[in-house]
Amino acid sequence: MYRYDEFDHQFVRERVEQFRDQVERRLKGDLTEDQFKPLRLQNGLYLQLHAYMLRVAIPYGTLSSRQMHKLADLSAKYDKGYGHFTTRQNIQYNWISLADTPAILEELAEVEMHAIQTSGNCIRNVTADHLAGASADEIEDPRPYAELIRQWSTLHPEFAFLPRKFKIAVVGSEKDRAAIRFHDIGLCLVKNDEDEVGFQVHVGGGMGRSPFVAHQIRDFLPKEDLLAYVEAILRVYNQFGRRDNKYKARVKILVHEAGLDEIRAAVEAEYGHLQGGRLTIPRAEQDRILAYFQDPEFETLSDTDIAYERALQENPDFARWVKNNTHPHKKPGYVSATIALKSTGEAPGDADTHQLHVLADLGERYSFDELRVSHEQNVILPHVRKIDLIEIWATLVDAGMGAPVSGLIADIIACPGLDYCALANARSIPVAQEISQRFANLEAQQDIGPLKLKISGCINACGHHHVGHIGILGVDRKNEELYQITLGGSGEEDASIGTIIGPGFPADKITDAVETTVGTYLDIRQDENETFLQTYRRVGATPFKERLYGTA
Amino acid sequence: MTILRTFRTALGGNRSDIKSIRQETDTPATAIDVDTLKNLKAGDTGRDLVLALKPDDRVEELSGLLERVSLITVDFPAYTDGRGYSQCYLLRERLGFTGDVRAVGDILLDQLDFYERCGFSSYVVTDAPTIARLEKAGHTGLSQTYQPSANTGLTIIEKRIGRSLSSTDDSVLTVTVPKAPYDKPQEIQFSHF
Amino acid sequence: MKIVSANRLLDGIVVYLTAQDTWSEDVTQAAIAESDEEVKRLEGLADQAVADNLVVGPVVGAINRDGAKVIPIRNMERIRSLGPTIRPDLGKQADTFRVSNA
Repeated sequence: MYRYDEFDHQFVRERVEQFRDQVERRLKGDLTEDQFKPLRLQNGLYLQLHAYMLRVAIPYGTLSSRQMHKLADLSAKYDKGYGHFTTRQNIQYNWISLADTPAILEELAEVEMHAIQTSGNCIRNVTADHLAGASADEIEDPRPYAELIRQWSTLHPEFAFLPRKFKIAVVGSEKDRAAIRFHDIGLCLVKNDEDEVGFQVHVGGGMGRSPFVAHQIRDFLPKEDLLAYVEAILRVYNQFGRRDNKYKARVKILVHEAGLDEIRAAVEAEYGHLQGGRLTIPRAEQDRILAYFQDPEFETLSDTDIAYERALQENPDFARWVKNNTHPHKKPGYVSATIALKSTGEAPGDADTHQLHVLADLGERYSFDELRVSHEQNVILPHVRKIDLIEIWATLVDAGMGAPVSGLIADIIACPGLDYCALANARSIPVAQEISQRFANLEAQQDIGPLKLKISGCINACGHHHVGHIGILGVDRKNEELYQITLGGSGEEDASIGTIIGPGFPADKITDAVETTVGTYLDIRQDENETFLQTYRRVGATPFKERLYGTA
Repeated sequence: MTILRTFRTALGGNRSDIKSIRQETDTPATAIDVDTLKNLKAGDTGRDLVLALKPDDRVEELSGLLERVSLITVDFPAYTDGRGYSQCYLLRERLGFTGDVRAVGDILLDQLDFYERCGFSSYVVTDAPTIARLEKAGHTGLSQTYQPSANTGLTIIEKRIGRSLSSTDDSVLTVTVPKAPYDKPQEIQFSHF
Repeated sequence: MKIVSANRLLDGIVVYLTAQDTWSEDVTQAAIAESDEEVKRLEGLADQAVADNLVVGPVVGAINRDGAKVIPIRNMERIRSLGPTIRPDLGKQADTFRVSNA
């Protein structure tokens, strides 16, 4: 993974000092809150319900065990003993003091981390496939390009005050595990007819109040032109994105209102000026960064091992965890292992100080010192030997992180919601907890099969409910929390936006409604191999509406 | 009200010395807008024109119209309206404008680094804490920049490449890094990358 | 009946404007305004506290009383006065002075 050189170190150190100075001036009154707010947002510091919230960047969801230990330390020293992994591969702390923030940023800088641009109307954390560099279905690891975009976008002087936030995601396979089609810019590595690798470029996707699937703006972009093209898109957006209405200010609205053809023409014209100039990525720099993402020193292993097979046979709990939580690896004898931070009755995506240290240790011991965070609020060990899985699993169970539910209904994605967030209309975590308790039976979960359930506490959709197979949106009606169900969303390469099924359910009825929805699926699926999403796409919303609302 | 002018120091540094010049009014009375500029007759005797841009003015439409313009003001009605940054960038990089580009409006200390790198050469500052701070301590931006803009000096990538120069490479890349106040650009040569 | 809450600038903790023109972390100490004039007066004090860089984002919210308890009506404000509902061990609900209103 990427390591800072002395330029990166100097940059982040100076940035910390700059923010320290800004905090001092704010406390002295040289800056008003209006003047200070965008500055603190550009350093990831929100003011939330109970305290400040700090969002630390985990670039493209990749971190080392040293960094994970630091995140654990920070949770104990400056917070209340836990952190929350987000749907953009970052981590959030909920009980932060403004006065402590410069010291926190300084400690992060020591381990090559920061909170730059994790908030504000600027380019946010570049996310990527959490199985990058490990999965067998990849054309090429997208993370070196995510790193190049990260550097290019960091404190870009022209794009610090965009009409609204801007999110970029990159994948290296046809399988989209980063929801690129729901980002402002989505990039996918592809091969052209000459077998060269370049980028397929999508623009104008997003969730929130007006969800849109992105449009493909370019079929093939040579790698060295990546930054020139992305800058062209940003320059067009910065000039033409709406600034009159906060809810119409994302690039998805610009593309929708102007039309793809017009936006493409403007982008290609700007790109024509930039191509071949200073934004061309030098081969030497590409190679320098690629070197950081080389394969670790994998052993040559057979894909089967007697001890491992026996453990699977003798220990059905272990076998269930392996079946659900491991993903095929490009190297024989290896897998990627998902640690589902989704224990029954816990807050999805939360991990306490001890658990964070345990994760760091596992990464160091079993995964070449590398961990990943997925946009589904789980942590992944990307490169583990199958023969090590039994020990890893035992450690996870011991630390309360052994939930064998990856990809199943209990693998719930939920935003912090009204328990933490000043933007929320309704609570989301208690809903997630109750649903996970209702569906706690593991056999039942297995029978239901793959099901992505996503909960947002408001229309900003940080829980990505639009792309849930079952999505839940919390709303407020006269101070009562109500929950609307959407069905049939998907954030993968078969992108679709969920359909609202009907009126919302009160808090004491939503879990029953989810159970009814799942029950409907179980009754009408063709066989146990037809997934929830497949059934929904085959039969549509009507059978579900009938069961939920009794309407024909 | 103070006008502060910046100068770029030697290439490779992004520091600027703020020199406070005598008090002047912010926009001279002769400032014209884009429509007026477009309608000027060719025969009008030239004196230095001042053009005042608004955020939704299109810089591309000014091509060929700037010969008699010595000062362009770019308005930031709120400092959070970032369109002026792109306008300045396009004035420098696309139109090759070498006169004074002045940021006016809601100009605050923490954006000066961005203004400079986008190619602004002066600003009008009315915010009292910003003026006090600049007069007392000047302004030092971040010393490293990741990305090129109209006026950044060498980027981190270019410094990395520059450090690995090899004399055996025969093809040459030329990077043109403008030197403030936008007189003759200086060329640096790198080996092929 | 209305009270004024805000976030303390330094640490973001939710505080309530008291009758002594101080800011308390305890909602039961909040000054309760029973008339429009009184609300205006409290808002003026809150604006001054913002100008003095003590607090940010003051809001006026309606409350109900139940003996010594002060219960904000709006869901968001009620949660702000207590803490996250899924973590009774965190926030004001866990502080000793808060036990009386939990």
